Amino acid sequence: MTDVEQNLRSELHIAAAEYELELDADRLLEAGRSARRTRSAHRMVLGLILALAISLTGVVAAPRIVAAILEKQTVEFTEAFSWNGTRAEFDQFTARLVDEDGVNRLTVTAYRDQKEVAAVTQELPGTGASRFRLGSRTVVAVFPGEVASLDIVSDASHGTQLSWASAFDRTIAIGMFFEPVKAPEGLDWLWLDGAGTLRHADDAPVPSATITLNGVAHLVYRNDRTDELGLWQWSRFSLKDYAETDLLHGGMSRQSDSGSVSWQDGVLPVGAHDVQVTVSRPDGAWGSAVLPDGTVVVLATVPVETDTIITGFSYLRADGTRVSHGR
Amino acid sequence: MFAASAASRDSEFTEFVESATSSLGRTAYLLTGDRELAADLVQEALVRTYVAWRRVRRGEALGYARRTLVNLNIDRWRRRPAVPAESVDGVAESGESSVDDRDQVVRALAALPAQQRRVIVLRYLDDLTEAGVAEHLGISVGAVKSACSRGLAAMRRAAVLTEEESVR
Repeated sequence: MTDVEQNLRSELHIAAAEYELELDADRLLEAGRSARRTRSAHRMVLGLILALAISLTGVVAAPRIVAAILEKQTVEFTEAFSWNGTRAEFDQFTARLVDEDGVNRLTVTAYRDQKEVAAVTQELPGTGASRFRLGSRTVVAVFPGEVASLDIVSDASHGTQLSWASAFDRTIAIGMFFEPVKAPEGLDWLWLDGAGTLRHADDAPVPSATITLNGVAHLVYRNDRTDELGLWQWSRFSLKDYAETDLLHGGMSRQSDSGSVSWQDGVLPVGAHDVQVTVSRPDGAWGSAVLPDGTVVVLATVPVETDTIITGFSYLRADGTRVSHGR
Repeated sequence: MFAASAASRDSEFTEFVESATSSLGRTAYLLTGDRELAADLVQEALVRTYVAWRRVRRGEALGYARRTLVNLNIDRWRRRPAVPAESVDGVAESGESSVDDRDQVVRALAALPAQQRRVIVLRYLDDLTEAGVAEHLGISVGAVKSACSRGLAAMRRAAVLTEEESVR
């Protein structure tokens, strides 16, 4: 540390020392208990709202969650899958999580036509994630925390129904797949924790960063295990055979009641800096970020449905050479 | 049995609160330049830490709470514009005669871009390594070095300007 840094360090400590905060631990505990109860209930209510909203669209008959907190030590919720009922092994689940002196036991019971057809009980590890299969196409996953949002990121995710609920600072997710799942531990699940960190199922952080465009924050990430670039909860694609000029082509669009939007994301070589991007419309926006693993990500958006989002871009390589593409 | 387990957990958390509040409070104060806001941030960060307490590894609780606090502050900055340097916690209203060195540092920090301020506070107040700051903020070590360098330069400029003004 240089003299200047040492000096700043001293000044910061002196400036901060005048601020002495005292909190009432009992009130904080009560607030924490209340937050824990509220968040568990919120997840379940949110699941109901989402299920209803999706059902009304007619796109897919979504899982329905019926949840109830039975007593302090036990949380139970039921998943009823009405989608594709003729092929599904199960059309309803009950997941019962019991906390006994800090040891969590999870019992998942599966039903078909209101008859119990399978059940499994597992003692959950003290920390970390666990996954197990029920039948051939259903996977139960337990995450070590309260999940803010969750996604399965593997080819097996096609035709998946996924629901989850939280209790005892764990989240239980049930996913039902079109195709048989041979190894549930091979599925890559990503989840966003309450502190805003994107994580793999086993809790390891995923390199990610936030890019804010037109006041909207977008979480971009690179899945180091599948080598995919993702825009959380929106899109992802494989970086295998990726070329940086792909930024000039394609992109994705989405229509909604509030209008259309198209976006394009891509990566530049490690060390790229002084990135400049030209978008196809004056009301478009772009941004870039360097992920913790060094990946340089570019994200651009325009408020119309189009295949041309980025018309040109340039950057400086690590060695200082300017690279330019497009207009 | 469950009650005993919960009591033990609450006892651990209470000890953590007593040991961590001061450090978190100072970090929050320098990040925001606002005493009440700092208190709110620390309380919310601790509540969220309590909710996640079972998965927070012992020895890493302070890091978890601090990361949560910084993220909460980032969310806050997304929702509203930066606090103007002139209005940092009453410093401006107090006039030049009461602006001592401590106020000067807080004011200079408040004038920095948010990312530089976060990096400076975590690096030099919380004594995190560059890699630690990068991990806290979800940015690269290179970005930390860059923000540190620019932040230091800005702080030096701010200090020089203030000295010149006080001489006049």
